[in-house]
Amino acid sequence: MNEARGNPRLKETQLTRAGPSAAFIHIREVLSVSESVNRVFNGTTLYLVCGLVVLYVTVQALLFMRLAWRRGIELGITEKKMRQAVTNSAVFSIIPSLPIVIMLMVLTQVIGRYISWLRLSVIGSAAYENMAIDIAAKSYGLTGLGDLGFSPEIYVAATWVMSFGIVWGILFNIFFMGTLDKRAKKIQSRGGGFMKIASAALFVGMLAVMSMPHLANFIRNDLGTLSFCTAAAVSLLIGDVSKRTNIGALKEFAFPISLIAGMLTAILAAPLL
Amino acid sequence: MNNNFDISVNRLGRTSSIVALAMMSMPPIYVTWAMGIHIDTGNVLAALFNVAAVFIPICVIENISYYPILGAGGVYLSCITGNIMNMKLPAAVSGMTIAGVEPGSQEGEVISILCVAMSSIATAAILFIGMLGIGFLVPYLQTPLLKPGFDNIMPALMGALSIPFFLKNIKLSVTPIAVSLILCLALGPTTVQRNQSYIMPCVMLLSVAVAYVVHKQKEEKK
Repeated sequence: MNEARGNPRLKETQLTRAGPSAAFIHIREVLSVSESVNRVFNGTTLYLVCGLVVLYVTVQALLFMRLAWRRGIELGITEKKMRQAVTNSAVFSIIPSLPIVIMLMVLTQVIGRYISWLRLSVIGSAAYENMAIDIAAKSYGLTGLGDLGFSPEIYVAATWVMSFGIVWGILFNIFFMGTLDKRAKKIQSRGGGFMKIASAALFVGMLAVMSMPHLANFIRNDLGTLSFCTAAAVSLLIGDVSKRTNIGALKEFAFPISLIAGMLTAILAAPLL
Repeated sequence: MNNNFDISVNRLGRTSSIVALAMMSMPPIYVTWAMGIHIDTGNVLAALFNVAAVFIPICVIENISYYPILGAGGVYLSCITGNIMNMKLPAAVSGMTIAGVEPGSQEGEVISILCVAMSSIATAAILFIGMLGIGFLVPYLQTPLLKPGFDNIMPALMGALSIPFFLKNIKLSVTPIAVSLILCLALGPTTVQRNQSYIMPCVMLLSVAVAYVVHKQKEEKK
């Protein structure tokens, strides 16, 4: 769902179905040709409606933060540590957000500025949104996203499909997360010494599946393998140096620095490989 | 002792998710009304059904897989803002490393919520700027010079995230790394990535099972 961006199957779907950027340009023309579509989809009211939703999501995040901060103090985590973790998160998040801005530009040409902004801010995933528009168009008998027969009705239908095609994670949480959490905590309290090991084992399992394809992909993407290794090495190096020198800022920015180092290696090595 | 916090997190999570769903229905309701269009419910439902068929199993499996690492609060939040694998999870995990707490612990859940929330706010802010100043950044980001960098965000991110954690837990990491590498060699890395949502829970379970057997053997020896 939320991983549609990282899911190559969806990327392929998006590329093959959405076609080249020519399709987007056609649709933009349609969007600007149909006066009523343009008026509503790029209008101030929709901006305010979407803005309200984005604002709500931000407030929700702040409420969770307040709850967690208080609990952290209760548990004896120092404020300094929590602040470091939060700063790291804010700085790190900037870089992976930039490709989403590019997606925003592309999607804007399909469904207008505000719906794109909203969709990528809430359960954001560009490939998913394109797929949803494509499927909506097909259910109206068109060939897909690139079809020139987009009627105003299809824009409206696409908005519905985009908004509700991907709410399953949220629905799962509403109905089952409480029970899952309760049961897991019960097992955890009974599990004794093994639970700590089990958490780490689950995590390395997840990381292995997520990371090994990048490491093993050297035939098709040698730059990827190179970035992977550089980022890993820099991250280890910073960890080591910050432990020895006790420079707080180094620890705080270790992750974004490693990420940039990996990307930079790819940029520098691209002309050579 | 931690009961109160858990109850609060689940209460806030459930309530705010219900409100989020209600809020998310506002834009489609508005455009339907403003365009004065009567949409064909059958067509929309058919399209929704098509999308649901792909996403229901993925969403359910992923939520259960992410839960042990992000905790309930982290999952509630990240489901609403999305981009879990490329942002929320790395943000939470690197935050835990900085704070020196373990994923799955009570402290881990606190850090996870803080980092996921901050990451959501940062993305929302950047997208807002991007939406307002539409286009000013894009030409720079898409220059052929920088393109290889942005194409390789995920490998760099995974390298920085995973290797230090593997080295910290070398014994536990051997099985899942070996299995993942074998799968990559047998099926090809792309196939593994494509089916990641399904492969991930299997490898996670296997990893715990092996850890359990080793743990039992050690205890028996004692």
